[in-house]
Amino acid sequence: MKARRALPLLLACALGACLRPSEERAHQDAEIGVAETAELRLEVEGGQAVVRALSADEISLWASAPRLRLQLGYAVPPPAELQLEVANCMPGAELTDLGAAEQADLGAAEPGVTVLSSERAAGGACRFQLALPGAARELRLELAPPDTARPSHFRFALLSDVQEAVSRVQDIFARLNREPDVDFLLGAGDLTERGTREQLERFQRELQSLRIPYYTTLGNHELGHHPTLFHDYFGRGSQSFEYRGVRFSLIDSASATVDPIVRGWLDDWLEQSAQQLHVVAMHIPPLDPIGVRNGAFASRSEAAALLARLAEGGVDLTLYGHIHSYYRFDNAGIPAFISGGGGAIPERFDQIGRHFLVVDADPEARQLSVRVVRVD
Amino acid sequence: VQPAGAAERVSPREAVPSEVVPSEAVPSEAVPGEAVPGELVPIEVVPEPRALSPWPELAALVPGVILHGSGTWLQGRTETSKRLLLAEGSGLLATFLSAAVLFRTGAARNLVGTTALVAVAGVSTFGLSLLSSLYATWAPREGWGEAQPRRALLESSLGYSYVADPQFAFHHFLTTRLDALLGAGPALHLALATAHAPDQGNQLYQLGSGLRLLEQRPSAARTPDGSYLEPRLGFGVHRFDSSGFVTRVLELELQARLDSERLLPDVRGAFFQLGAGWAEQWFAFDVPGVRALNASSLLLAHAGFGVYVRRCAELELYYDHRHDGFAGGLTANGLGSGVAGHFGLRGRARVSPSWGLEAEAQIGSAWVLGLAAVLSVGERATARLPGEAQP
Repeated sequence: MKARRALPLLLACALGACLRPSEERAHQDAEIGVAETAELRLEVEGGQAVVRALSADEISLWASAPRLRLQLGYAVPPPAELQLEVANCMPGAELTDLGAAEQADLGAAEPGVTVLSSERAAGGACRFQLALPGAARELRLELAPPDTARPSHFRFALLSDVQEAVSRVQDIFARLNREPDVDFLLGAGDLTERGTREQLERFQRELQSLRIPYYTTLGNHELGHHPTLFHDYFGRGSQSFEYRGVRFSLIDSASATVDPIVRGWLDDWLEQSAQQLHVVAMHIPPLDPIGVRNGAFASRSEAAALLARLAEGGVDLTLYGHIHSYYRFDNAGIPAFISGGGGAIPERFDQIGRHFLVVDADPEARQLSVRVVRVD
Repeated sequence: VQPAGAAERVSPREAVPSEVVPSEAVPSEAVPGEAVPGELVPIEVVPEPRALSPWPELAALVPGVILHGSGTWLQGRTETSKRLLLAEGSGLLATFLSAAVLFRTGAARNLVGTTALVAVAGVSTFGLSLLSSLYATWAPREGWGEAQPRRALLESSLGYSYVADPQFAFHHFLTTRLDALLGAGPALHLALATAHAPDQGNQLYQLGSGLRLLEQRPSAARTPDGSYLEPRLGFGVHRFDSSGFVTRVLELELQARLDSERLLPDVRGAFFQLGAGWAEQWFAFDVPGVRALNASSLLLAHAGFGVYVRRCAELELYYDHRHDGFAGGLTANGLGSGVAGHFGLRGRARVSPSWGLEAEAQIGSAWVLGLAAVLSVGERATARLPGEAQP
């Protein structure tokens, strides 16, 4: 069976398909957040949530961004009630019927979605019981903490490269939970050792003790089993979202390259964030500060081209994983941090150990400051 | 006493392998590789095979891929088999040791350069040993050719390269190269190479100089030997104007060619092309609002197995650890993402005393295909040619 799969792969390589090892994942990214049944079509804007379950009266999502916008289209009259469950939800997130709000602004009050009940369940899931207006065939909902659309000071953390140290990750989460005012945890990949279904599920179970949501891209270790299994659990490998006036772009560089499709998306995100603070995170850094190691992009020309594009696009901070240590440097004039302190085989003699980063973001002052928090 | 140049098939029991005898009556139309009057010529000993064809040829594959030298062992070439096994073992040992160090130290910054070089050397030794084992079993006893007995004082080439890189719009390049080998023993090697994509904002300029050491001298030569050792200093500028950056590379490398007979006495007509070194690469970014400079080191390593074809051509399959240049390194899904360099196949052939062709294909994060016409000027012999008197 393996030989039967290997032959087409070898032929594909010979024909040049190996030049784009992450193309399949880019296509998979584009499909995240869209699901359809005979009665209902759901689209999550920007693919910022994985659709775990979908039926006419029940929707279950895994959020991969702090602010979600959902578009629901019913082919038949909608059910009277809808249960919406969003795992990895921001604390304090509220549900807004955008359509009704716009109508109200125009003075044409129409009945909107009514939240019958809401709760934040253990493990960071938000549950809403909604009463739907009978006539509506299209619903536009937003799930976000209040006031997070406006620029304001906040903190986020970065953690990557947990891999085989998942059994000790609770120490890190406990330390993170003690860190004040951190709104969410960003991941720069390699959360698992081989990216198997069991390992991805295990990591999500471990996350239940974390009091803040976790948004991540994937690393090369997630590709060991199946290249797109990660997407079923954590969503897009490459995505961009805005939070409190700061743009975050997570880029899939797990194959030591960025697919041209993702480069195209990145161009759009850079354009959208021209006047904003912009944080870009990816797993494999374009350039390794220790060049002879080359824990970096396979092509240095591609690395430099990407960095030139990020610099031209006004990116303010680049965050990487992959190298199991801590490095602070600059690339193309952009401050850069490598933080692979999740516990995977550490780089020896570096005096760092397990750690994560906490970033203070002040979008009004256009300032980002980074500090290291040691766990051990 | 055997007539010079005539190898006789004898059984090992009958032969004295190291025996040399004076040659006799040499035909006046003798060619390089054959004896000259008065010279001592070793008797060629062809050992008794342990199994007849096709078993050695098949054994070179299975179990030869795992047990190098299996084919030559069935051909009765015990010494060659031992050396191939030794090379394989050394390669595996170096690979596992360096992998263990990399694993245990987490590729620590102060150790990774040396360790990575040992790892590349280990994997390359294994690969070269495998290719040698296949070649030794499959190729004719005399090989398919031998090193060119002459080398040019000056070589210039003009060619075209096609680059298929999904990250860049450029594809078509006009390439030029100028190589000069000045003086003899040791010769000064000067090299200049360029690649231009005129309308696509990309130009590459490379300068190199080296000292060609341990090269064969005509006075000592009976058969051509392409072996040499060359410490080399190089500098390159690669302009990516349309992408907003320029890279500059200063490199120091030890390059070597070793003809197969030097390591495997009964394997002829092949060579090992090797290189190891270090480079510093600078990235100068110049985009609207940003001017910045970054530097990064680069591990240089090259391991190639080549064959001579007649006396006018050669073909080399190689691995090169470079991540800069057009081919970059291999992209792949999985744990080794970004670490490996690229593979290539290079060939050159003379079509007339002055003209030749060069072709090269590389696969890394891009495909590169190149073809060039070569003009050679001012040849000098590196092996004694027919009718030439001993100096």
